[in-house]
Parts: sequence; C-alpha cells; structure tokens
Amino acid sequence: MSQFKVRQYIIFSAMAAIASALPEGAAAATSTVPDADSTGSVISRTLAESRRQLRLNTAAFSNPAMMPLRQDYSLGSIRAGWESRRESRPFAVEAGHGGYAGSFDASAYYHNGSATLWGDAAYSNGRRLGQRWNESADFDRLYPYVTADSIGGDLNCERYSFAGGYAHTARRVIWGVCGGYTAVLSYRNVDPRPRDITGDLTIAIGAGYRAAFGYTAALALYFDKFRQSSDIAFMSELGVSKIYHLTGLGSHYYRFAGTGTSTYNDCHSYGLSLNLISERESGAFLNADISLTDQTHVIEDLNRLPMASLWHKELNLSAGWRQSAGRHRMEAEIGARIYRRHGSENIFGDATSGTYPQIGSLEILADNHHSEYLRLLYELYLDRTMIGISPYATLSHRRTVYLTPRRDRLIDTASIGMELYADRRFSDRLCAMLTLSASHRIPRTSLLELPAPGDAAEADLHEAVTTGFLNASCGATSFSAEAKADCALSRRYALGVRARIGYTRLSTSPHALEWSAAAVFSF
Amino acid sequence: MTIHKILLWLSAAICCAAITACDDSLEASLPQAEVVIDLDMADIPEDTGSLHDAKFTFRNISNGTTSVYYADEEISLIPGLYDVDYSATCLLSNGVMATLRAQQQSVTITQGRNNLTLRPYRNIESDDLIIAEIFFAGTLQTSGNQYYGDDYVKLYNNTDHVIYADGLTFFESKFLTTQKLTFTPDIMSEAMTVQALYTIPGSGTDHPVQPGEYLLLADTGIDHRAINPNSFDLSHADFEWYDVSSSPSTMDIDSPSVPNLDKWYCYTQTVFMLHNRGFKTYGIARIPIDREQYLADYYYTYEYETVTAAGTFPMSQSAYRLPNEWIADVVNCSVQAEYQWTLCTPALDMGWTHCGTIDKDKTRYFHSVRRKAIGFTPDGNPILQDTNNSTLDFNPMVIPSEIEDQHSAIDATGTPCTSLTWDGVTPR
Repeated sequence: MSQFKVRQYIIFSAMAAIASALPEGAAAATSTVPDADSTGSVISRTLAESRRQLRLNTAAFSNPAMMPLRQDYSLGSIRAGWESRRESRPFAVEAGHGGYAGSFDASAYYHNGSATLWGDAAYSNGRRLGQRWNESADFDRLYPYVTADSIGGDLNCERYSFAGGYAHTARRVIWGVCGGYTAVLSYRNVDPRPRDITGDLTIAIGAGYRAAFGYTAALALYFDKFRQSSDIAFMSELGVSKIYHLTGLGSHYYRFAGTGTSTYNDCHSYGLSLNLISERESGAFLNADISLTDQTHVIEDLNRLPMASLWHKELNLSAGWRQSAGRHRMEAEIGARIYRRHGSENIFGDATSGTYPQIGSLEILADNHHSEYLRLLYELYLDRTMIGISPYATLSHRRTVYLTPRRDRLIDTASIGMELYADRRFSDRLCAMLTLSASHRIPRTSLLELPAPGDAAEADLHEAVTTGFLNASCGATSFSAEAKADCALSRRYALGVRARIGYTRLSTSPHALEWSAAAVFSF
Repeated sequence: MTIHKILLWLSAAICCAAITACDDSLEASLPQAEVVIDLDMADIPEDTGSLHDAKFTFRNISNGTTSVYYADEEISLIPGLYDVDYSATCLLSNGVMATLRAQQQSVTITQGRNNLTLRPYRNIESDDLIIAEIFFAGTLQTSGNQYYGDDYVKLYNNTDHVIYADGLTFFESKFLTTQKLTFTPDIMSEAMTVQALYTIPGSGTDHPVQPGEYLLLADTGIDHRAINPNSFDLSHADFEWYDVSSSPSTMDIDSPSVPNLDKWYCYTQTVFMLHNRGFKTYGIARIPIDREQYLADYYYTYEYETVTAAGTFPMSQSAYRLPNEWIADVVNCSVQAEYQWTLCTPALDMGWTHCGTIDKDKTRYFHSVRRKAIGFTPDGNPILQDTNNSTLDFNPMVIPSEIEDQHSAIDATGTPCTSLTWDGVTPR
C-alpha cells in the first residue's frame, strides 16, 4: 500500500469509540451534497455514503481540515467481514498466490455543531498463501530492502489499527488534526519462522480558509513514522536455510547473505498538501500533495549495521470539475502520480571484533514511476433510483534500474475501465446498490534485463522477478460485481450486507478469483 | 484570477509534470575508482624469466562480482571493499614453468585514484603429500539427528615417486575463518597458530605412499554402519586420531584395526573432531624437531580485543605456532555467509573452500571438499590440482569418496550413492 493510500485510509477512518459517545444526529456544519442530511433516516445516510464512495476527488479529504466538507451527514457503522483471494499461479511471487482474512471494523463520522469528529478501530486476522522471496508483510512499502528466502510459505497476519480526527469550523477558518496507529504482527509456525512486527504512526494537521465563490482552500502537513522489525528463526536441529537481504530486481547484498536474521526497517515520511474544493453544487477542485520519505534497512545481528537506505519523493496532482443540474450530475478529474525512489547500499570494511566500519555508500537503485489518469462520472437521479457511469483511462510508466551488475525493468501500460452502478430506495426501510466494473490493461512497452545468476538460488530469485515482470506488463482483464443492501431496523439503526466478487485474467494465463462478504450495522 | 484559470494552470502543470517524469535519465550514476598497482618484486628470485599472462583479479566482497584486468589495462572499478589477486606465469632458467602470485585481502577502493602495492611470491612447490579430501560435515542418522565420528581426511601422493608419511603432522588452526580479530603479535607471515597436532608414527620409512596412492586419516576407524546405517566403513583407514577423554560422557573409540596417530597436542580434554561446519583451516606439516622440544619452544601468547555492547575488553591467550616453512599443505575452510579471512599466508593458501554456504547449513551433511583432478598419469593415476588456492583447487560440497566407493547413503533417508568420480565431479 502506498504512502498516499495509507494516509488516506487512516484519515478516512473514524474511531468508533469516540463517535459512539457523541449525541446522535448532531447538526451538520455544511451542506454541499443533497443526498442526505445528518438528521435523515439511517437509510438515507447509508445510501449517501455508498454514493460518496464512488465519487471523484477523494484526495482532498486526506486533509483533516477538509473533513467537515466531506459529507453533511453523520454515520457510524460496525462491520464484520471475510475476504478471500486465490490466484491460479502467483501474479507476484513475493505476494503469494492469494490469501484470506476475517475483519472487524467500527467507524464513525459525526458532525457536532462546529466540530467534526471521525474515528476508526479495526482488527483483521488472516493468512497470505505461498509467499516466497519475501518474509515481510509490507513488501511494497519496504521495497527493495526486504529479508527473503527461497522457501517462504504461508504467513499469518494480524492487523490492529486505531485512528481518529477532529476538525473545527470557526466562520471562515477550518482547522483539523488527525492521527492513527497501525500495528501488524505477521508470523509463520514452520521453518523458516519470520516474526515481523510493524508499527505505523501517522499524524496530520491542516488548516483551511473559506474563500469567495463557495471555495475552500486548505493546507495540511503530514508526518508518518514506520518501523518493521523482523526476526527469522529456525527450529530444525539440522540447520537453517539461507536468508537473503534483497536489494532490488533480484539482487541481494552478497556479503551478508546467510547472516543477519534480525533486521528492522525505519521509515519517516513528511508531506504537504494543498487542496481546493467548491462547496457549491458546481465547481472545480484541485489537489497537490508532495511527500518525502526516507528509509533505512538495518541488520540488527551485525551490531546494527545500516546495510542500505532509500529516499522516496512523491507528487500527486489532481484537478477536476463537478456540475449538478436538475437530475444530472457530472464530474471529471485528471490527475498524475509521480514518484522517484532511489536506494543506496552502504559499503563496509573488514569486521573487527564483530563491528563493520562503514567506508562508503553507493546510490545504486532507481525506481521511478509516473501515471496519469482521466476519470469521468455521470449520475442520473430518477424518482427512487440513481444510475451512474464512470469511465476512466490511465497511463502508467515504471522504470527500475539497478546499476551494477546491470539490471533494468521497464513497464509501460495503459488501462481503460468503466464502472456502472445503480441504487434504488425501495422503501423507507430498504435500499440497495449494485456496481459492475470492468477494466482492461493494455501492454505498451516492456523490458527486463537481468545478469546471469550465480547459483541455483539466484536463478530461482530471477525467475520470481521475471514472473512478476511478465504478469505486471502483460494484458489483463478484470470484472467485478458488488452488491449492497441495507434494511432499516428503525429510523436510527440499519442492518446491511455487502458482497463482492471479482475475476482477473492475465494474458500470460494466470487468473484470480476474489470475493468478500460483510455484515454491517449502521447507526 | 478565476478558478477556471487556476484549473487551467493546474492541468497544464500536471501535463508538464507527466512529461518531465518521462525522463528516465537516472540521477544515480556510480562513482568510479582508478587503481594503480605497483608490484614489489623483492621476493622474486633472480632466475625468474619474463612474465606472461599477468592479470589482476578484483573480487568485490560486497556484491560478489569479479573483475579481471590484464597487466596493461587501466583498472576502473566502483568503490568498495575488494580482495585483489595477482598471477603471472614465468619460465625459469632451468626450463620449468612457475607461477607468481600475490594477494591482498580487504582492500578499500575509494572514488578517485587508488595506489596499491602487491608483493608477489613464486609458488612454493612442496615435494610432499597433499590434502586430497576433507570430510568434516559428517552424516545424519535415520532419525535425522547428526552422527559424529565418521569425519576423515585423505592425503595423496601427487608426485612421481614414493613419499614416506612417517612424521607427517596433521593440524587444525586455532583461529576461525569466520571471526577476524587483530592479534598481537601478528605472526601470519611467519607461522600458523594451531590447536591440534597429530603425527603419523614411524621411523622414517615405515609408511611409504606410492605415487597416486591415498592415505586415509579417520576420526574413528570402525565400521560406522553398525551404529548408523547411513554412514560407512572406516575400518580400513590407515590411521585414526584417538583421544583419551577426561569426560566419561564423551569417550573416544579406539579401533583395534586402525593404528593411532601420535597425539602431540590438542586443545580439548575430551574428543577431537573436525569442525563440523567447516570454519577452520587444516594442513599437514613436517616438524623437524621432536615433540618435547616443539611443545617447549613454540608456545606463544597473543593478545586481541573483544568488542561488545558493554565495551572493548583486552584479551590474552596462548597457543602453538607452526612455522610456515615446515608446512607442506594447507586448506582453508569457511562458508560464504560468515567468511572473514584466511588463516595462513597466501603463499600457503590464498583461497578457501566450503561445504554449505551459511552457518549451520543443513545441506552440508554427506558432503566433503575434494581436490580437483586435472589429468592422469600414464599409470592412470589422477593428477590433482595444487596451486595453493583452495578456491580453485577444490571442488566444494561434493559427495565424499568413501561414500562413492562404498555406495553408502547420501542423505538421511538412506538413498544409496550411485556416482563414482575422481574428485566429486569428474566421472571415474
């Protein structure tokens, strides 16, 4: 999960405990979306929430100062669900061939006079299946500096997260603050036995100003501190398997291969975002988000040897327009995501008495990406029914280079897709929504260059990299269907179900089937 | 400025950013280091003729890559820590081809110009037995547990004449190839520090070894299959090292059919066995003085420092030193993941060999290191490679010769060995 998504996830979430303590049906501070209001029935509010989740301009609400404008209704929910994914062959060897998890989540978003509060508490427990060449639960985040072995296996993952935020509106000024903490424990009970503990603390503070023509501009600062500690143990009395410290594109730190089973990654991220949205029915929005992340991979066994480090700079830009006229609503958004991620390996002199003096550092890996997208949305409101369509197109470019021995990977793709959705309020007690999605990824340019492997294990690692490359650069077609239904138990409480099924087939032949189901209690 | 204009500008900015991001010229460009090598020929005898095939080999310790440069090439490397080897062939005045070698370990190469001095030596040719095989990893029992006692060393007569093994001493290094410490005094250029010395008995002509003949030194010279069906018979060994243990729970077996080596010295009060994970250096030597004199005169004390989280502590220990000129052959053993240094002067062995690649490697059992066969004599005996570089001279982690000869097990499940080779690789 990218830094951006993590932040978005935490900020969008709400802490149920805080929210539950608030008086229900408190007045909204603003009124921008005519779907429901905070005093509306629970069915109105759940329907509005389902529609909101499909709309564009989600990036603005990573800014806590913008949160009062996200929705004009209060809503709390408690959700219990199960999700599963199976791949016929691993799309990416490091991620395994699927997984399953059960989760419990309580979230709330409440307006209370000039204050807005939100929070979330979540727990999930599941298993990732057949993960190889990666003993971490956060591969994408730590890439390329992860500890790995050729054996791998299933990985049990427990995730706990707590987050909450508060925003206050005082005339033209809005300020907000939010924070969250996520802890992940992942482990395996057979050799090799990794035990990874992840802690992720996120804090954001923002301030906004309600300017002319119904526009609000806001600025936010973000800070994220992430640490993953990893220990790999072997219980077999016969010995151990070789542990590698990967350094990108199938390379590994040769000198320390087979040693250093205790490692940790320290990661700090700083971000700044600027957002502009219109509170009126029609208006423009724009978002600019820049972040800088640094990360260090340390082998704890070798007197805390700082083996490698990286920096990651990321820019997210988006702009769009929305228009509501009568029964019609239209939105358009263009955006871009650009990041540069460069890794450096430190060089060490001869160990004396177990201590390795650092004698240099080489910036040796570059992982650069940019993607651009255009997304449109049209909704038609009939009497009790809404029909929506949202087509989109994306261009993506990713180039990863390891300088010596030379390794090079280029993946250029284009994607088109469409979401069709409709909801209907059958009565004051019952509503439902159906979403159908289809997308197709078109390969454009791809390249993979790897040196000859040194031994059988390296050949296996190269095969894993090649598999991931082929599956990421090939054509892919996905379909999914999601159904939601909520039934009001009273004006204040509703019980709902969610079900989703998705299917993806790659042109290289692997396919994946995923499904999820959940029961939701809304209030 | 209206919102529409702002939007327009932002859209333009997004397009510009996207176009800029298309530039894949990576900022990361590696710094380069230039290396200038000066050869100090002070140790090269005057009868050495002109040099041929002179080359420098740089092995990057960090990433494991090797770069070879010939003498007239400019040397350009990425900065790092390197092991540097030099080799050249030369024709001596008596018509014999010889090899010049030099080595420097753990050389720091930094950005810019680096000056390096190497002091080559001419290969020390030993007219003696050589170590052909070391089986230190041992076997596994059918239960999967480790079995002890079937480790062995094989010596070989690689010459064209009879060599008498009498008085030849098998030894084990005191230090580990996996732990580099700064010892004071540093005697490596003059002697090795050893902790076990076992000598072949005899008056001088009691144990002839014919050309192409092996001499088997075993830990315990018994038929181990009686205890461990996955092991093999060592009752035909030429000698065994036997220890009178001071611990009743750890007693050695004295085979009635195999004569014992003379135990000159061993560090342990119980039972000596080869380092099971292969972190030691083994060798054979001809000690020209008697046991009592050696034990009296060659004991020395060395100092080093131990660095821990609690601080740095000065340490002092004592051990026996074995002068380099007495040593006939040496084999450094280690594993790639833990290797830090070799325990003898490069003139004796400038490389190292291994079974397994990591500490406690579970794939090492039922494997040995065997010297490479590079040809055959007219009598059909193998000619084994001996360039004083165990990395090049040995086939690492191959099936032991005793397992091949006896078709015994190659794994814990008892799978019988079906291969038969001269050196673990070349089919017999």
